[in-house]
Amino acid sequence: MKAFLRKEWMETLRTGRLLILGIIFFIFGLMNPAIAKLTPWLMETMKDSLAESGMLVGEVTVNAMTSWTQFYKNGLMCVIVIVLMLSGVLVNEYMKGTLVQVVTKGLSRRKVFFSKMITVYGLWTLMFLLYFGVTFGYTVYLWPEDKPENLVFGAACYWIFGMMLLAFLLMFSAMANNAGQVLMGVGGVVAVLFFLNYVPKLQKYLPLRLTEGLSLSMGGLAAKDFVPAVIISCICVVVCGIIGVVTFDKRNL
Amino acid sequence: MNTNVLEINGLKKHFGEKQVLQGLDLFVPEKKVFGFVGQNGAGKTTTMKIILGLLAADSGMVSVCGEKVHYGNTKTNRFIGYLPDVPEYYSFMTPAEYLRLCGEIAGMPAEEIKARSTEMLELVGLGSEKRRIRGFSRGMKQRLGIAQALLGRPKLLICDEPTSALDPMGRKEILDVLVAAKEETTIIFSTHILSDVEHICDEMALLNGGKVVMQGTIEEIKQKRRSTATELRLEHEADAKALMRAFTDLPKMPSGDLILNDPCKLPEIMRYIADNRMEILRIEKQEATLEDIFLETVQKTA
Repeated sequence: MKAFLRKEWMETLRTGRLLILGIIFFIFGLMNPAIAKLTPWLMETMKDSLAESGMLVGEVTVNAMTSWTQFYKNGLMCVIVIVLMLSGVLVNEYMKGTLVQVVTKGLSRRKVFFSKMITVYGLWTLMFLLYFGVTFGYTVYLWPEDKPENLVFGAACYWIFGMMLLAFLLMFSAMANNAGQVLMGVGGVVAVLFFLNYVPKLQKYLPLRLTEGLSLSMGGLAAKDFVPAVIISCICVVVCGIIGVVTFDKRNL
Repeated sequence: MNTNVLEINGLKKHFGEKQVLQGLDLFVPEKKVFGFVGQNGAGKTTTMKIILGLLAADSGMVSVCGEKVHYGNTKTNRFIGYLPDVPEYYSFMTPAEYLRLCGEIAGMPAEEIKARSTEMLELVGLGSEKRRIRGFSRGMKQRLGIAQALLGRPKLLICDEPTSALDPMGRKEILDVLVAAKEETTIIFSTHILSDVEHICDEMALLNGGKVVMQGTIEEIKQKRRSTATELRLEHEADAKALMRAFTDLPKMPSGDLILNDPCKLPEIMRYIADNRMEILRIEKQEATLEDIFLETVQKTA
């Protein structure tokens, strides 16, 4: 498995996937505090034109919370980017037929699937750390005195949400024949989650709750309110993993 | 005594309505180059994929080196080297890196991987190739395919139409490499190019309608269908016409040759030719080519 994992990382590096993801997540991470910092200036420059249309702009105050609000808003973009970039992680190999040789060389299908899992989860973890780290560092630099509470727990919840979607991505990859089908599967899961979120009683169980880490820092929700969603998401990761492995064992390469 | 590296009994497989394999039996003895011949769509690739555990059979038994093949993760693949018809690789790797990956997957020791990779890349003429696979031609990919298939010293090398998509030069290169590989392994070589079979195979099986309709050494197969006909060519057209008038069952081929199907009549004809002082250009016993046998068998079972 070590050999196939090394191949995965070589691919991530040489195809430029790591570089592209790194740049995107770095820019996203940087944008959160930057936009917060620039908001007063933007409002000031637009003041006159807004006044003409009857809107009055008062004093705009920004702080570290403004930056973290942006962090949660852009978090969804990060998830979309990683899902798009990794949608072909397995299906591209079926389409090209590259797995036939490694499997006939004696590499077990489970090792192939676990290597893909480690790569996908590893990349997301690395990229999310970069995203969080850049936002955290730049926000502390701009507003050194201002330190919202529960930042790490809130961010960790977002990371779990990403892990859950990637678990679905891997499971659909074991079943699908092309990246489009994988994306449709993951998109379908998100659509179902948004739909179920209309039912107030379900909200605290749905993984979507994990994207609301901002409420932790603003005081709307407590850490215990996230526990059911964390448990449900972890169960999803495990169940998707099992279904993925079993399906991949029997699929036509 | 020779043992069989591969044994297939009563193999059946269908895709939807189409019954591709209808009780295929095949035995491949050790240290032979074995031609697996059939038309396109005859079931060659399906059979090979079942041997490799890449496809599930409906019924029947396949064993490699005495061990049964299972669909999915089959342990018998450790005996096999496989060259697909259009081999695909990780294009971001160099040939040496790809062989290292293959060697590590197969559980070979690092030292051996290094030595064997160098040896195999030299054998297929890619020894000095440092580029990534991305820029490789089809022939180069096919040769790299042989190198990866032979890397682990397999007992059985399965080549699925390795020469079909190549130009004459590329074909010759692949056949030469396979002849060289014959020293160390048993080779199954699927193809519909019969001249390639005649060129390098010791034995062959002819697949038609999902069954093996003929199997044996090339010589045996030719013997079975050795023609008793004799070709006769005379110098002058008028003599040929006179001969045809004298002997009714002496048809003339478009090439101008007269064909004598009954060998008993030959002395009589020779006497007639001598009596009439006819000039002979050529008189020759007709030899059946594999192509004739193939076409005849395919038509017979169609």
